[in-house]
Amino acid sequence: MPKSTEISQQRRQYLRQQKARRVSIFSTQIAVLLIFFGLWEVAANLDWIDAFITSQPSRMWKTVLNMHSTGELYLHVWTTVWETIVGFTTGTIGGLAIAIMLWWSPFLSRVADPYLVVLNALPKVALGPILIVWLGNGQPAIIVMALLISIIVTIISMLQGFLSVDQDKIKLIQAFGANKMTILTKVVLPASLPNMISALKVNVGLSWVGVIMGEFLVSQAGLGHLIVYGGQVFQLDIVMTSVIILALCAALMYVAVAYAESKLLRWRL
Amino acid sequence: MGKCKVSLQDIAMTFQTPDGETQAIQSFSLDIYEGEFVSIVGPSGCGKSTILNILSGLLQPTGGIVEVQGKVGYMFQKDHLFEWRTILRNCLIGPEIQKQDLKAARAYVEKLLRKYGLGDFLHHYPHQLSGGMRQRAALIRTLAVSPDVLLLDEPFSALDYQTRLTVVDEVWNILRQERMTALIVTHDIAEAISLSDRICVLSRRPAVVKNIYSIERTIPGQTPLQNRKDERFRIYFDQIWKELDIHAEVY
Repeated sequence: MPKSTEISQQRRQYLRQQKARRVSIFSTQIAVLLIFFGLWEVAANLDWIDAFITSQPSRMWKTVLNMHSTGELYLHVWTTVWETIVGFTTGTIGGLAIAIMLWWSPFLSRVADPYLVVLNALPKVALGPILIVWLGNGQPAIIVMALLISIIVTIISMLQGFLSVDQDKIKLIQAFGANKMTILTKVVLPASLPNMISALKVNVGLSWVGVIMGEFLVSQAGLGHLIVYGGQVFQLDIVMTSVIILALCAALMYVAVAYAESKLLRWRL
Repeated sequence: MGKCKVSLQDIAMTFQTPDGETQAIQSFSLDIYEGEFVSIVGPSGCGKSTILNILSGLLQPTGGIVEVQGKVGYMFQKDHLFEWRTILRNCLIGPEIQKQDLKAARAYVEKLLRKYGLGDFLHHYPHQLSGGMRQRAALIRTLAVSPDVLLLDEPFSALDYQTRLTVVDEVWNILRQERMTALIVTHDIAEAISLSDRICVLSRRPAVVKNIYSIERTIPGQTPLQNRKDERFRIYFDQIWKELDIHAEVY
């Protein structure tokens, strides 16, 4: 008996250390945030920096309250978030569908290879003016921009994942008499799930890039629009506020994907 | 001797690649009878696995006649359990693909899993099991479609030596109890002698049958591990070793 209590005491000590470490990491993270904004505020109040070009937390907070009362805040946030979700979803689903087609037909995949390489290398922003001419000065152009930015990467990374599935696993179910469709649904897709989710994580980021770039080029609303507008009229309060809201939205969406990952990949734990 | 389950006559196999053609098997003939365990040994790369691929229908031979009575089950070197499926669902993959009655298949698979010591692990994921247990699960997955002939491609070589000796006994025991006919490909001569009724020795590529040994036991019906202590074990080993001419292969 004394032996087991001794072990559990060690264990308790170990767990206590682990917890202390977690607490100290988290509190330091919070402290960094507070010190950063606190210093920013104080520096602006004491005129160490020019709040006209750097803005300051208290002015940003006023801007938020102001935009909240006019309802502007929600219009802009929602516009951008909506464009991102649509761009992200279509980019992912479209990319997945094309990757499946290319996996299905090795011939098609060989044919498409050089085109994918070129399209991947091309900076998609360059297509902005074309999209505006074709799709007009509005949301469709922005969404297509987000879609274009994420779809090629999705195709390439998913196809890579499909092709790297263990050939013996495929042979195994072929020995059971599986056809190509069965191979796809029973082995290739589930085996590529971790791969797909990391593609999803990359896509979230890329979709934000596409949407903000699109909004820089053409838009009547959205966070990207606010940032450009604020810069043009020298309202740095608006610019800084929008950037921070944007950061929060992007982080939230990433967390949502990470949560989905932990749910879907329980078999890995 | 029972009825003939597998008959291979003058099988030839030539592979085409951009670099040229490779004749893997020149001429291979073998009959396997009901309830028999036959091993194929041969130098590495001599086309042993190709024979199994032909028998299972994954490959079409370029020559010869293949006749198999009943269904074939295939067991691989690695267990290839799907990480995203539980043990039970892994074992049901065969019936699922062959669109069998899943309820009956599930009852049968559960019975097998319980009988062979995996009853507590039905809903575990593969990574939670030891190497030996995984290999047993892989065998039950193969048995789930009730095959008449079992093909085993180096089924133990991914296991460490200790585990291997036990798993060979376990698998042998399961196969005996389920009255399986088995064709085992291996490069391990000792394993082949301990496990099989007959051993077919192949030449280097292009493969032909060099010799077929019928293994006699002093005490019949013993497990592979016990068979290793048989006084004739050494003699068979030396004969087959010489026949394989392994040192000639390593320059």
